[in-house]
Amino acid sequence: MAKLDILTSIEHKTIIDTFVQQIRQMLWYEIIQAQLSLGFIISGSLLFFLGLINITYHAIPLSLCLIIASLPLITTLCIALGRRPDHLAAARFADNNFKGKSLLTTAVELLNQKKSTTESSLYIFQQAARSSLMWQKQWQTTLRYTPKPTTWFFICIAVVGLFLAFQQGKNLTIHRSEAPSYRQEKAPNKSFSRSLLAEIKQSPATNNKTSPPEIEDNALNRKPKQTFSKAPNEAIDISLEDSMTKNTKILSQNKTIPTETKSQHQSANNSVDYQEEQTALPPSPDGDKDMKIKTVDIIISGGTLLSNGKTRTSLDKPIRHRVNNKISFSAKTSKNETPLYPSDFSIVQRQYIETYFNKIQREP
Amino acid sequence: MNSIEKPMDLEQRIVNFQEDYYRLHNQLNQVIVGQDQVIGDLITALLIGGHVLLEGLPGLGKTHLIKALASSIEVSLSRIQCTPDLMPSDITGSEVLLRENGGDNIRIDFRQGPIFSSMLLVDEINRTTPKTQAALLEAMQEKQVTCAGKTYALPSPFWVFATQNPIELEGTFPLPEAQLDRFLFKISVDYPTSESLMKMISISLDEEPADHIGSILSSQRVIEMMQEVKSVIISDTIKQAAIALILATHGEHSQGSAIAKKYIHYGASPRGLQAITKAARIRALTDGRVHVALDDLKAVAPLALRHRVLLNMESELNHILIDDILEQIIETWHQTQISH
Repeated sequence: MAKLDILTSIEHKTIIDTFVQQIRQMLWYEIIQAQLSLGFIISGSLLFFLGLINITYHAIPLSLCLIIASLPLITTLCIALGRRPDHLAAARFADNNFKGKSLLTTAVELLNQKKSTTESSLYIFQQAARSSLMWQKQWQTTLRYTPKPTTWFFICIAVVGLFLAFQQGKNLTIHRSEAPSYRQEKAPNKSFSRSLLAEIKQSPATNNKTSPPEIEDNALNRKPKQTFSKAPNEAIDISLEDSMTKNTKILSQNKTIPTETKSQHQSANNSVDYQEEQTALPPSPDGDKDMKIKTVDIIISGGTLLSNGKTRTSLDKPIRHRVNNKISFSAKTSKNETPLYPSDFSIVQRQYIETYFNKIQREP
Repeated sequence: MNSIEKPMDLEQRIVNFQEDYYRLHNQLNQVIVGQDQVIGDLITALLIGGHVLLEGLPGLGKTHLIKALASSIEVSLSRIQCTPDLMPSDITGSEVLLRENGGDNIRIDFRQGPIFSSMLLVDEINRTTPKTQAALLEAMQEKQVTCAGKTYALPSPFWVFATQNPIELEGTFPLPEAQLDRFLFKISVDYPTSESLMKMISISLDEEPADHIGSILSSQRVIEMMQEVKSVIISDTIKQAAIALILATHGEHSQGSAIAKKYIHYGASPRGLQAITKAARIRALTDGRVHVALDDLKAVAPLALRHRVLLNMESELNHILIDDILEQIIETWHQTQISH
């Protein structure tokens, strides 16, 4: 009779354990799905928001969008892992769901204990096994996790956001797929820009075709691979009065080009800031240099500013003038012909661009 | 594994327990009409071996109920009517000089007081002085009496059922916290409903039902039932829940509830925790279970905590009752435990 009791007890324990495992597994899936759903909601919203920013306000790299959007998903997955239910939690969940009055919780606790089996624990196993079989049928028919419709909505939002993030940014005309290799090869560095500024400063305002002899000796004569090594989106601030002339001299003496940060070049009043967001495309095989300067930000502080053909004087604060147009320029005709500029280009901008193209023409 | 008994034996014992419990309940219900809850709580305290403080207006049948209970379970009952001039020796007993052999031999003998009975009914306990009230402390906790350096054991089981009036408080001595804590339950006897009153009139119009009440359980059976309660298992989860409930009444504790922080001066004692868990076992057994559930704790918590929680001045100024505060605390605790 005792053996029969033992066998019955083992059977009861097995039934309880199986049922609790099932609940645990389903709870685990439910937690993962719920957390992923939450992650999709946050990620979708973020991606959509970033995509909107990308096409309306400022270009955002696709990789950055994807990294930011994936963060909530990773976080919610980590939370789901942390909330993985154990046997006791599953038993408690079943008790709460089926009004078990802590029967399964007590049974699971007794199963985990190493204490000797008592009369009461046998009775609890018997009751719990009976309840488990009954609840199992209800469980299969009633309790199922169904994804919320909002999740699908936010997944769609995420797709839309991804589509927007794939689009060209507001200040970009070059496709992103071309950008990395192009930037590495042809992006001008700060030194190059400084040398251009030096040319602008040293040459007369009307002279946009010939360059002074001293400019021939400076950094502008270097090969493109030596000079175009900087990322295009970096802003360069150069003081016209002090730092630019010093840098030009240093550059003319030394062939190495120092890489300096923006803060090192932070100018006070009477300064010119250049923000180059996109630079020229590489020359075409037939020799023509179809240059496209996408965005040139020119900030002139103090002094006299020519903008849109009008003269402004006595500026207390720097004025940022953003140019977002294309300029087509042919190397063959540049020596004799003046390129056509948009009407809102200032003289300084025109000088800068022309000096830039002159320098490129001089290069072998 | 030879010690393993058949679960069916336990099941039969549970059924027997339930039958006896409800037989006693029904008998008392015929004497005191419309107080089902009070009777149930009283039997629960009886089976734990705890003391009960019954609070209610005069004429609601508190004393009558205790007498009927004592008659139903065949135990000795002593009654003390508390007055301001009652002395401790009037309760515990005292040493007296006895002359033997015509006065040649004189010896000192201890004459037992009314406390030496299984069931002690202390009527209107708040009318006696704290000195006399304190005479009950040792008896209630340690179930013994010390007199003139000698200790006398009280009969086992030993119950103290005290009554008090919530009105006519002039000239009374409210029980100190230490003594209140020794009562397992504080049961409030409310006014019966009109249907209950109608039934009461019908029963008691010609004769007093308590006069014809007979014993339905032997004292031995009561002791067996008290032993039966020990077979009820309390899981660690339930124990933790009970602890959380006690800590919820402590405003200064991190687990204390918001309302406790606002209105409770001192929370429930560890004795309150013992009272809750013991009473929950009885409730589980009467429900046919050998394991305690959260609902059992929830049901017995107000009984066990209402006299162990001390309110602060703010609650008294706002006329907030302890039962209302406890109800909120228990409900919050229950929701937390379910969602945990």
